[in-house]
Amino acid sequence: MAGVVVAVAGEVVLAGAGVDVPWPSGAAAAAVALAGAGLAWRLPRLAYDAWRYELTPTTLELQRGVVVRHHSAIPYFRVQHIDITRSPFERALGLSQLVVRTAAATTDARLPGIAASDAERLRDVILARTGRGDAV
Amino acid sequence: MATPSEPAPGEGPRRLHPLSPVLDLSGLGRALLAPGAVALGAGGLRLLALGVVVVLALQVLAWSRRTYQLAGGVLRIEGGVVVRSQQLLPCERIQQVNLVQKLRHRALGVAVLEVEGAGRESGARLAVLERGRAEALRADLLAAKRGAVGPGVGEATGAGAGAGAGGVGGPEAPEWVPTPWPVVTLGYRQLALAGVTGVELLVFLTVITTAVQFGGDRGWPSLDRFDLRLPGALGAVLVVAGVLAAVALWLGMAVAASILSDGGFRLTLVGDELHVQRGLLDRKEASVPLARVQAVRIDASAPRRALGLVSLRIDSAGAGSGEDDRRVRVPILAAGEVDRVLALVAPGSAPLPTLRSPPPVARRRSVVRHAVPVALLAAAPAVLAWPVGALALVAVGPAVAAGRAAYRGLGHALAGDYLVTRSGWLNRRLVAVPLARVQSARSRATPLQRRAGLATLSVDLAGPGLVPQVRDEAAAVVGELRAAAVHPPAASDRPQPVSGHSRTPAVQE
Repeated sequence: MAGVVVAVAGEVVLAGAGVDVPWPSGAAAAAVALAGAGLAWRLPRLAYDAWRYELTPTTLELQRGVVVRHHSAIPYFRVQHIDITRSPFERALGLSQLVVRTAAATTDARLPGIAASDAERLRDVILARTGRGDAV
Repeated sequence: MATPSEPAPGEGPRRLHPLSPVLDLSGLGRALLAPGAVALGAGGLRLLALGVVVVLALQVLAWSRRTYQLAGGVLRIEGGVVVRSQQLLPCERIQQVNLVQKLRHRALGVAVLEVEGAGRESGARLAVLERGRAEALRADLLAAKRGAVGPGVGEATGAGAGAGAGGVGGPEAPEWVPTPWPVVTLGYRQLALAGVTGVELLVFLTVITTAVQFGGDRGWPSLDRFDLRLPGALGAVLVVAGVLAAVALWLGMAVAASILSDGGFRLTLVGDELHVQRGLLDRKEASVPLARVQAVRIDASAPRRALGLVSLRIDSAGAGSGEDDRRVRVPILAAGEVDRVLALVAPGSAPLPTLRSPPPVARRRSVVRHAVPVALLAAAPAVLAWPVGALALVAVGPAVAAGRAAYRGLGHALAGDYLVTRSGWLNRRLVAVPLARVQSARSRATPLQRRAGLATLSVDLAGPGLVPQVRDEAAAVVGELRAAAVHPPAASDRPQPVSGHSRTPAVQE
C-alpha cells in the first residue's frame, strides 16, 4: 500500500514539475501494486521458513525474520512465566502461541503458530529447566 | 488483623503519620477537583466547603484503614475503604528504597518512603511517615533484604533510626554498623557546571541561532550591517542584547535548577549498599543494594567531553526508576574519576577496558546511514529550485562528518564479568552491564548489514528503559557476544577480551 502511495505521489510530483514520463499515467502504481500483491502472497511462506526455535541445554534460541533477521537467546533461569494464547482463528487450526517472559520488558521470545500440544510440552520443558533463585 | 491504635515498636501493623490525609496533596487536589467545579458552577462557597469536608473525611477514613507491617521479611500493606486490599512485598525482591522529603515534609518532620520492586506494580509508597520512623523502616527493609534478620524480627525497632543499615537484630546479636564510605560529594560550583554543560544548553543555543538567522532573513539588521552612527542600529543592538540576556537567563536558570535539584549531593557506600542524598529544598535519598545494580551508564556530551567531564547513572530494576528523577545518578564527574567510582559501585568493571571498534566496513555503513537521509531531503529543493536549491546539498558534508564521528564513538568489550558498550557522536554513552544481570540477548541484521557482514546486538535488562547495544559489529563477533551475554562464564574459564581491529580509549576520544 505504501509503495502504491509513493508511486502515485512520485507521478504527481513529476507531473507538477512538468516532466513527461514515457509510460501511461498510473502504470507505475499498478506495477508497484502487482509486485506488492506477489510479495504478500509469498511473504507468509518465507516468514514461516525463517522461523526457528531451539532448546539448547541452557537457553531457548529463536530466529525469525525475512528482511530483518532476528536471533534471540533467553537463558532458562531468567524465565519468569510463560503464556500460551489461542485466538479463535488459532483454535480453529489447532495452533497456539507461546510467549516466554523474563524480568525485562524488552525480551523478544514469542513462538507463534505451534501445535497446541507442542506448546504445552514446550512450556513444561522450559519450566522444568528454570530452576530456582532470584532472576533479577 | 490486629487493630492498630498506637502499637509499641515492633508490635503489629502501624498507621501512617496522622498528617498523611492533609499532606497527600496530589490525591487531595484530584479529589477536590470535581466538588470544586460543581461549587463554582453553583456559585456557592458553602457547597465548596462541604466538598472539602467530605473529601477530608474520606481521606481520614482511608488513612485509618491503611496500615503497614514488616514481619518475617515481608512488608505487608493493607488498606481500602470500600474495596479492601492487601499488598505483600518480600524484602528479598527489593530493588531500591527511596526516602523523599519535600519542603512541606521537612517543615513537619515527615517523609515519604518508596519501596521499589522489579515489576511495574510491585512497588509500595508510604506517604507520610515520621522522619525517624521512615529511616528506621528503611534500615529494617534493607537489613531484611540482606537476610541479616530472621523471620519475625524485621519489624521497626527504633534502633535502626540512627543505626543505619546495620541497626537491626535481636538483643543478643552483635550490632554491626558499616562505616559509610564517601564515593562522590558535589559542591555548588560543580553543580553549577553540571547545569551549564547540560544537553539543554546545546538545544537552546541552536534555537537562538536559528531564531537570529530567521530574523535576519526576515529583515532584522544583521551583524555585518551594524552602523552604530545610525539610529537604525539601535534595533540591532537591542536584538543582540536580547539574545545575550536570554542566554544569561537560560544559564542562570540551568544553574539554579541544578543546584535546587542536586544541592548537597552525596553518594556513599554503606556496606554493600549505595546511598545517595541530594536536593536543596526537596530532599531525596535513595538506597540501592550493589547486588541490584543492573547497569552503570556514563554520558559525555560534547561540551562535557571538551571539559573532561561526564555524568553517571546507576540503574536498578525498580519500576519507579523509569523516571529519571528517581534514578541514582551523579550529575557531573571528572572523567579521571570514573574508574575510581566504578571500582566502588560496580566492582569488576574498573578500570574501563580498551574498547574494540567495529570493522572498517561499519564506517561506511555509519556514513551512509547519516548522509543518505540528509541527501534525500536536500535533493528535493535541489531539483525543484535549481540552482539556488542546490545549496541544500551542502548539508551532506556535515552529515558525512557526523557519520564518521558516530563510527569513532562505537566500541565494546567483554571485560571480566561485564559487557561494556559505547555509542553516540554528539552525546557519547558508555554502559557497563554485569553479565549476571542480563535477562536475554538478541541480535538483528538488516539486509544492508548482512551485505556488509554486520549485525547489532541488544542486551535486555530488568527494569524500564535501558537496552545497551553493540552496533554494526561483525556478525560472527555478535554471535560470540550473544552467547557470552547469556552464559556468564566462570572465572576460571572466562574467555579473553576480544581483540580488536583498532583500539580506542573508553571514555574520551
